[in-house]
Amino acid sequence: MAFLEVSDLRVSFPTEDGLVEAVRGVSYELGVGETLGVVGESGSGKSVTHLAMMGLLPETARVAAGRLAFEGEELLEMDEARRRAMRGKEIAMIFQDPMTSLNPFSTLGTQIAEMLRMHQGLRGKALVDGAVRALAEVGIPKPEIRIEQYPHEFSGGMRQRAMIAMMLAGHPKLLIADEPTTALDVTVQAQILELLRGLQEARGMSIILITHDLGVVAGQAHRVAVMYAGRIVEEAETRTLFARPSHPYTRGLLSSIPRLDRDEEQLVPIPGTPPDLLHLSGGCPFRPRCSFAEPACGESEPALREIGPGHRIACHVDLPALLKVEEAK
Amino acid sequence: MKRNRPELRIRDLQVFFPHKPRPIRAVDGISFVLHQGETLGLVGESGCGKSTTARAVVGLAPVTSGEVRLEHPEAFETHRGKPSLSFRRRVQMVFQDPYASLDPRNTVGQILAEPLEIHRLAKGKNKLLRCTELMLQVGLDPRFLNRYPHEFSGGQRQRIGIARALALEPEFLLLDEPISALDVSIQAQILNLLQELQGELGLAFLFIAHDLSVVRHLCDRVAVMYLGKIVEMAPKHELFERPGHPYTQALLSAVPIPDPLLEEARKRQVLQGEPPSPERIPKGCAFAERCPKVSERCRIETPVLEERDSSHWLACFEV
Repeated sequence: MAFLEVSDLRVSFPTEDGLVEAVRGVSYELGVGETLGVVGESGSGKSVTHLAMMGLLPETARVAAGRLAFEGEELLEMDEARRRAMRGKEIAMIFQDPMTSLNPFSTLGTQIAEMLRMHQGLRGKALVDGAVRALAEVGIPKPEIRIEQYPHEFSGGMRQRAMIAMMLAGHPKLLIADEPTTALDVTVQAQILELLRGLQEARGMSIILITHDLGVVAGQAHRVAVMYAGRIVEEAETRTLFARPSHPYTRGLLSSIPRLDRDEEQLVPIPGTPPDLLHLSGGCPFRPRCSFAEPACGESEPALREIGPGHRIACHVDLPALLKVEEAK
Repeated sequence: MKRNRPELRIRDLQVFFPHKPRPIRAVDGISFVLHQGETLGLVGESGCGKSTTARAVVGLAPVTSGEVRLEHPEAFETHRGKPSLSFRRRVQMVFQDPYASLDPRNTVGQILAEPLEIHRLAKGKNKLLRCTELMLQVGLDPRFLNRYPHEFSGGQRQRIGIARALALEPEFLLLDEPISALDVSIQAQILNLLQELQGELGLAFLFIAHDLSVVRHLCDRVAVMYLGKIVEMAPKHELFERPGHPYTQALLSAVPIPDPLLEEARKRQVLQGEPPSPERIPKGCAFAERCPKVSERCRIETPVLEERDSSHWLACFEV
């Protein structure tokens, strides 16, 4: 039994212009203590997939899955009470903007105490001690003073730490981090990433790290899933993905970003723009932007297939073979 | 008299914003020169004053003291906050957010024609011709001139923002985080466009960014700002291979590199704390409280930016 098993997850939203399928059949598994990086651009479905997992989508959203199981328990079949009990206690989620999770009218101490009361059953003085410990664990100096303060009294980085402290107060086994460092300056980002690594080691938590930044993924994730137009198009161990990117989109992303450690003569951008999910034409959604497209790509959408141990791509073209031939020439 | 190549000289620029009990020192005395045809990167974290610097240069932020001087083969002119029409023609700005910086009620044609009208550069048929030319220059179909901004994608809107800045044939373009709001796959398109335009038109860029990888790719020289001051300025390779200032070193070591093997092997120098608020700039070196090399002197005296090696400028006592 996998720790987390996602199979054929689909999410759609009714809009004025018709039904938009934001997630179109996502499948993956996650192990205990593992960090999965989920990479994609805006509209790729990386956030919606995980909001659906948390049960945090608006009621109009239609969520369906072949299987969506956390430690063997089917999430979509749970009643709302069980789901609410799970949120924070077993699966927690942090966001780019900490203010989406923090209450501006209540002190940090009160907010963390609430989590401790709910998920750990602490009462009285133990709540205060617990809140102080929680802030100390995420590296907030003078926690006994800080618990009396409101979110606006914290800087951006400290607010992100405070949110992490609150979300970890229930000792979740899985942390979903949605662009947790995107709004932060790079030196503060480094601090938060280090904190997450440390917490994972200390607690043996699993982490799903959603980001658009391939650099962040490279240093943080064991495995990476690349999403495009509501689907995973490539998945592999982090080292494999960066050494042998095998989907044209992944390759395109890697050759379009400049790097700090070397000079690039010319960047090779991916032409065109991300697809409009309302008007997918059938066939591979990346085809209009793909320089390797073949006739087959217009006919059917490729399914994920294994091309090496733990390495899957959704592509009709045999890119690795094609590139080998080109190299030989 | 010797004929100079055009250059933009910023001298002792200060921009303070009124605030109680003390004013906010957003830009606190910076000087640099932008030469014809080069790209100078201005980098630093949020609140360091990099955007305010650019805004003050084009007259969008008040100049508290110091001056901005535009030197030209025929003439020069200086402003202390209110640039003339001819200065504004030569120095144009491109903004970060292509959604906020284009008037949604105007068509692209109107947006591009507006600067031509204000500066009385083209009328009637010539105006349309110039707008068509601008669209082609930034890789957009001129048939879209009568569309509205919301009909374009983020990348296309940024192309429109660039076309508007080019309308007056400026020599200097101040680019304030022009790709930060765009999707990763679109960023390279805009970077390549900027490089092409620079080659074609001989433009000078002041490129403001927080992404150091992008700066390395695009810039010839780089200035690093911390709390309203330039702490280091050097040619690109010098700065990236031999960073002198402890802040520059920490900044570079914090940038993630999309290479797992490298990331594993890297020694990270994680800075403690966050930059102090420009409301309360400490005495001495502003970086002192986070600096791994701090000494007694740093807390008392403020280091000035001085040239150490040829073209490598540093403001630090301990290097």
